Amino acid sequence: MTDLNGFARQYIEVWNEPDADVRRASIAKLFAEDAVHFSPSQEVRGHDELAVRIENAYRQWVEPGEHVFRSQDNATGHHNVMRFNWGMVRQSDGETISVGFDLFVLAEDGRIQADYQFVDR
Amino acid sequence: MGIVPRFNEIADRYIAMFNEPDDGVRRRRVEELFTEDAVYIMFNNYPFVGHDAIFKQVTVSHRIYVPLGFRFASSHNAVGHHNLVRFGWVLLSADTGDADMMGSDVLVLAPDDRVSADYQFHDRVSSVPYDRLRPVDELFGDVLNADELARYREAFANVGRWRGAVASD
Repeated sequence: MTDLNGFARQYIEVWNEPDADVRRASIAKLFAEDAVHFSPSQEVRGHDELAVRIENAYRQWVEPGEHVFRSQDNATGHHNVMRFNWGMVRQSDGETISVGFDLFVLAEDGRIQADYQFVDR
Repeated sequence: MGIVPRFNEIADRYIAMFNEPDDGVRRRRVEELFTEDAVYIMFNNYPFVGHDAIFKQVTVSHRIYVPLGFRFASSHNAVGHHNLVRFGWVLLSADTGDADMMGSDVLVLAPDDRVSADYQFHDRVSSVPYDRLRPVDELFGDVLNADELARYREAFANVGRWRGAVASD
């Protein structure tokens, strides 16, 4: 994979996506069928659980119109792994109020096999 | 899946393995820390799979840097959840105390709390003049086979080609 930041932005856009069908299609495009996603408070496996996980985050943070997720465009990678940071930005003043880190282990087809998420603040 | 205790302790053990001067003790540390089929993936190298391969790479790192007065140190910022541990580390110069190399790792732990996958990223590559080290046969001849020696010989001779790449393959 060459465009790591582009891939990270596609991933982040799923978390901002308002349309459930589009979100679902993007999950299928980005994640392997049996992908795992571990965050500090969540452990989900497969497209169905990912769709619920990401929809819940959308409802909590993005849908009220107060926040949006942004990649920090600092993705680096080697072999089948990549990492990057993202922020949750408050719409009213552009302040980044939460910062996280994801490490992806990619499957042979380039989709995410494992998504290890950390929230730094 | 339970909470993994003592994230910084795991990071400390990982770092101590790189600083361990005794080959036999370092080998035991590898076996204590990693599962038999563990994978260790860093940039600019093929994935190291299993105790033998990981021991060789840790030994190469030790023998490059420690005799030059460097030591590895954890950044003591380890965090974790589920079976994951993430932490930063530095390679410190004994002369200046400055960090000559920096990076971070995400470790995936097996049910027995040993590492089954180690995903390593470099944020700063060492300034060590790899192309002016002692010959690789002298440094690693007792540990690496001929193919492995040739690989490091080539990598060290062409340090300018990969030093700028940092975390990119």
